[in-house]
Amino acid sequence: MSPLVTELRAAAGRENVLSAPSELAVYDCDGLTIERQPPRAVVLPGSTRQVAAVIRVCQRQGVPVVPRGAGTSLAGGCVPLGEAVVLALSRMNKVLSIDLRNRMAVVEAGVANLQLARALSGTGFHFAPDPSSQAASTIGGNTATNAGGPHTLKYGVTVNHVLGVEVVLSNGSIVQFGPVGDPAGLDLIGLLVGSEGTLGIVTKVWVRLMPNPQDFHTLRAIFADVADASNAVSQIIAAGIIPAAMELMDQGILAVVEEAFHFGFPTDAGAILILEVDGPRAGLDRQQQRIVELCRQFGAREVLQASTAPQRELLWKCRKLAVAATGRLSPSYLIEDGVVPRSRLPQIIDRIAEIGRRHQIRIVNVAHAGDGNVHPILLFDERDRQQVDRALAAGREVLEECIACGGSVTAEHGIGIEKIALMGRLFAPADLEAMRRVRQAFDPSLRLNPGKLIPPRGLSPLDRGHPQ
Amino acid sequence: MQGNGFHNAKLFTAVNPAATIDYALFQRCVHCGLCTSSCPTYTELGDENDSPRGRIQLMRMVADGHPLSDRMRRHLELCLDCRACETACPSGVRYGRLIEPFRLAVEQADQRGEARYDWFREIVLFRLFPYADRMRRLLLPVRLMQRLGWYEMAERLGLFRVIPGRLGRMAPLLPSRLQTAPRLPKFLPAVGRKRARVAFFVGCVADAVFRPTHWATLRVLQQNGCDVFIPPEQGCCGAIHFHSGDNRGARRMADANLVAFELDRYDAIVVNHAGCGAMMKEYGLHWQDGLQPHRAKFAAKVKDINEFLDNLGMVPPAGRIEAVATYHDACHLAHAQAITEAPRRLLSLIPGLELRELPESGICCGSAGVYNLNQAEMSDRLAQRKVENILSTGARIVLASNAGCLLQIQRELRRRKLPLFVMHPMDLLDLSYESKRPWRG
Amino acid sequence: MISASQITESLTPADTAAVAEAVRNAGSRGMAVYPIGGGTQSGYGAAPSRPGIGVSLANLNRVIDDPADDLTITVEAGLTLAALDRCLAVRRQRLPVDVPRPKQATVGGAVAVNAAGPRRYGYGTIRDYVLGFTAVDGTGTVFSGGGSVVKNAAGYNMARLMSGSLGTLGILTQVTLMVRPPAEAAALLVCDLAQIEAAEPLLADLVRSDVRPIAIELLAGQLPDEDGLFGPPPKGDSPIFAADTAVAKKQIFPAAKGTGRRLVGTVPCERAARLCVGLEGSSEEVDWMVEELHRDWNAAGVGVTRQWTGPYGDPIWQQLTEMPGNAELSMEIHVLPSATVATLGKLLPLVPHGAIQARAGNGVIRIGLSCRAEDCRCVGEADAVGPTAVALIRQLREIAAAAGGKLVVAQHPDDTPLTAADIWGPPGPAVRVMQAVKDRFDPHNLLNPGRFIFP
Repeated sequence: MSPLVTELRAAAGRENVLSAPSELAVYDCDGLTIERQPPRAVVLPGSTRQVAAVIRVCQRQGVPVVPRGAGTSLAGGCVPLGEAVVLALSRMNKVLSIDLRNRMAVVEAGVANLQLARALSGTGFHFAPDPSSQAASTIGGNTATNAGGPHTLKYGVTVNHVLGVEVVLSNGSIVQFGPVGDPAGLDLIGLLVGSEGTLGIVTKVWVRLMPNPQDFHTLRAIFADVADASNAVSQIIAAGIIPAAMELMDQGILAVVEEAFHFGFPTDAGAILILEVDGPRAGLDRQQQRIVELCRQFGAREVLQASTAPQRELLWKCRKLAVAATGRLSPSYLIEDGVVPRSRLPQIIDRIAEIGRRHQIRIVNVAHAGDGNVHPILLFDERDRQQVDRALAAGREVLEECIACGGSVTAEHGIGIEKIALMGRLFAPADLEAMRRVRQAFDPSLRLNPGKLIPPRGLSPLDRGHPQ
Repeated sequence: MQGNGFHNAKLFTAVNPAATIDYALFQRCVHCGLCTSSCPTYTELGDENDSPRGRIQLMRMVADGHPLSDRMRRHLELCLDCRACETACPSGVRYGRLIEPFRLAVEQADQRGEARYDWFREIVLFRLFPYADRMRRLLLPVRLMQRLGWYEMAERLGLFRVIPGRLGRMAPLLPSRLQTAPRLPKFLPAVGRKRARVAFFVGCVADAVFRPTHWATLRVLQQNGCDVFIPPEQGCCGAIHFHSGDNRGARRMADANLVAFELDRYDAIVVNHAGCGAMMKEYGLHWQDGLQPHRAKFAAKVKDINEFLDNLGMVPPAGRIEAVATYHDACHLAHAQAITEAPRRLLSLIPGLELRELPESGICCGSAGVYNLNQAEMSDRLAQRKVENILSTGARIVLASNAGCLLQIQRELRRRKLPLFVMHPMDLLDLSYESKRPWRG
Repeated sequence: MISASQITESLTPADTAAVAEAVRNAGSRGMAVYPIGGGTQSGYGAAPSRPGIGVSLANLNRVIDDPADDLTITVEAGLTLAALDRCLAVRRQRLPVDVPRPKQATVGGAVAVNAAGPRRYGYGTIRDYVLGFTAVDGTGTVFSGGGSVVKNAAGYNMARLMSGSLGTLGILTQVTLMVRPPAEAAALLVCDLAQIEAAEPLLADLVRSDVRPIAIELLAGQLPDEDGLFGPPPKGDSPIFAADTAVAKKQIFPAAKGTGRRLVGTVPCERAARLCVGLEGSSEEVDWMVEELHRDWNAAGVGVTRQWTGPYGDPIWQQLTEMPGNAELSMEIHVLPSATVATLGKLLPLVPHGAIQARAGNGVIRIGLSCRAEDCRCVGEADAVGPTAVALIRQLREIAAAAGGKLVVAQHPDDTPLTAADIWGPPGPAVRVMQAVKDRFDPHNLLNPGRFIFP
């Protein structure tokens, strides 16, 4: 047994440390399977104190630490580069308190987003970020990636819903920020959200709860082609209407979704939009009417309202599980997370199709269209090396196109390792240097999730990911 | 821990337990991880080795030539095969078709190797459980003891704990008051307008322990205009053998049922316990021989009682039952057969009944066939979790459509001395048709 | 607090490069740099630790990019809020954050202090709207963060770090904001409470109600009375105004024109408070919520004493934003929303002549004091009349801390010797990390030295 494992066992308890190679292999990647590296050990701590003890051990031993929630990252954020110790927070999965008077819940980092939603059912409140991975992904992971979801259009992303965090810093100290606001200092909560575990390990989160809308209407608008649908989205936003959600699925993804969930989408639809309006019942009909009119005006063939609660749920299930359902189409896929200014949506959708044709890679699209956030899914077979290379090249080109449109390479999945080489395209050297300074302030020895988020100096945008 | 923890490497150089599995089934998993939170063992343990995605990776490693270590094996054995992950999986991974043949192959390799004689498996599981008559004879003294009050006393005094191992765990599983009921007839006629001809599947443990539920089911079928045939030659569905690695025994049971049921005479073969139904619906998948088409035809006729009545359009019962109830989704119904709404719809027709949704209803109660006998600790944890959830609903009646779940939930409630009623939906529907109540007053 | 005496020279650069140049020059001479926006918050923070150069952003006042259809806008940091509002209004858009004195206040300044007003409950603070920025750090290096899209997870959320950092990490020169369509209708409903404690059940009800306020203001103590809103509660049954804005102006603001602010009368605060609830939405939504709130309050035994309806923008809202604008010493307490009323109950006896405004939905309590009143003597030692400012701040800070909260001093008179510790309170748990960040952005401590939590 290595001295590291002995120390980890002392820090976190024997039953909370995995070190057998066959068990470590399961932690060699997350939702991004093209980058794999087994960790040196996996620790499943049961308390913040144990997390702190593990951090101190790793600091002493000079070993990197990679935090992990449910391992659903699509950007390789949890891949343990550099023979790291994986710190999986899955055993810290208790909803600690629900405080409706203060519209707040306190959860351990390993609580799944849906677990919190279930704990809140019947209270009349909910946690607004609803990433498509919500069945499994944890609040800690949502915090680390500043996760979004369909309803962020109206309600904002995770950073708008985190009131406080308990975090273990790189020196092993435990600090709490929030939940009471404090103007006497920097907004470290806002900074920690989305920092992908490179600034500290979040162990507890105070989340904002939103009152459930009194009512909502969920619509699906059917379009002959994806260009019309994306144009309608831009027009609705330009008209100054912000629905609760505005989601796009193109023909390719509709076929998969139909096979998986049998919703009954017309097979000849070029694209559909899922639109939701919510709020006091009094205002909904007119809100809906305006949206329906705009959809029709910009080419919707049909706009239908989900008439029953099960139908609405199924519609959302179709949308949320669409990406993962592409396993039915192809043995491997790469999902991108580009975002463009909302008026450029039709343009980027058009460019994606062109890029797919040129690289001979089939691309299907889902999008949080109202936010200008596109998720092109590039389908390939990992056993065909050439196809893999073509898919990677096409993916990179899509993101470069997003940058050219004034957008960004990730809206909600995070940089991880997958997009790290593109950071240099998106940001000027001085901008990246500013981020490096933040990182150094928190973690001078760069032990927390190294190789993620910020590219090392001199990494060319054409390099593939991290230095191996 | 010895060395790198691998052993039995020799064994599997000869036989790879993943050898019979179509590799494309592994590839269907895109590693998204959305299954993990549906998995009871992952929810309890938080180790991805105990999650469906992790287990698929472990099996795939073996398929790729990695030796099966003891630790890997333990993670795979801890799987309940509840298949909640199949319901959760957007990509349609058939997890059952990976874990079942894999574990079967491991068991078979064990028997070929330095096979230890497992008396429990050989005698209790294979020679006793599948035979309702033998079971009933065995349970006769229990029933007598219960009537005399000795059984409860023994339970209170913890006498069952001196019975070793799995046998000792069986005693408290039995319902506190085993009810007797007359033998089932060969035929029962429809009441009122005739709407269907069905055959009823009786099963083994279910018949020995839950015969009153069988009677209730038959009466409900009659009330719904069904002529019910109960072929006397039928036997166990074979699930106990199949899930314990006795493939051949399972096939023997299945084929005996092919002979017992004259398929063309019935609109459906109705079964009221989910475990049996799930097994029989898969008769067409497990064995590729000359009888396969016949088994597939049989499987197509099998209908769960909830599914059958829901499709038929159930005659609403009239008797009021003013009570709060909650419904637990048996894994073999919800995940293996994708039946979740039908039982809820049927129960909602009972006048006066308030059905409250059970949190984590789709998470296994820990019964899982014979899992509660083989993996005691995890099984207990899951039973406790289930009962906590049940209590949170405030329900007085717990409903489940599977024998194993009924026994498991009942045992945990009894251990905590909680006076809840655990019953099959058909029991409650029957009471409503008969205008009776589950309790007096 | 920054006063003219500490600014040895002033520059008014015309662009980001010139700001960078100014900082580099100052650095080479070892001079401190004080960024200056509209000057509305010059009383915020502690006194500079040394004299330095004032860098006014007044000439950086252009709109850089206005892609109206994207609901974003990029402006230079010196643009005033009023100018921004005008520009957005043309597009039928707005930034739904209330900033005091919008004609002077600049976008950069508002971001630097993380401005928010009454509508904080519904729309958050300006931090929630900053998508990207350009700034000059303490070495004179220009850097940017974020971008111009509404959702962005690339790299650290640097815009959050800069918002509320009081210009100590960098001088903002350009900001990209997310904007929103305006609400079609708005309403403000007011009820009078005989006791401050009576507010808590009403606030708790609002949390669970289908009425979704965007502002919940609880007023107590002595407030400037411009229009009758904040004066003594009317006796007997209160009239209900459901007038449109024009009529409301006529009836309610007859004295407002040109009279400026004046302090009149006092209400014994422990016996009176006023709850103002702001609503926005489509006209149907607002109508329904107004009715619903009437029903809720009637059921709770309180009546609506004042009501304004009409589009947002009525002067009454701006008044809520400006309060307690004319106070010489003002403080802000942050507690959990549920602790607001109890905290008010404890602090009111200590400041019987103070003007108290609580953003009750957010747990933010603002206390305004006039130094001429007997509440405190801002200069010199304690005397028989009242505690010194420092002692009062300590007392109030203890009350806040007992409720798990914080107190900061928002404004104080020029001649009051308050230390940074008096103003910001004891250092928080992560002061070491914050200092480490500061050291890396401003290694020579040029930017706003002494004014914020950094020595």
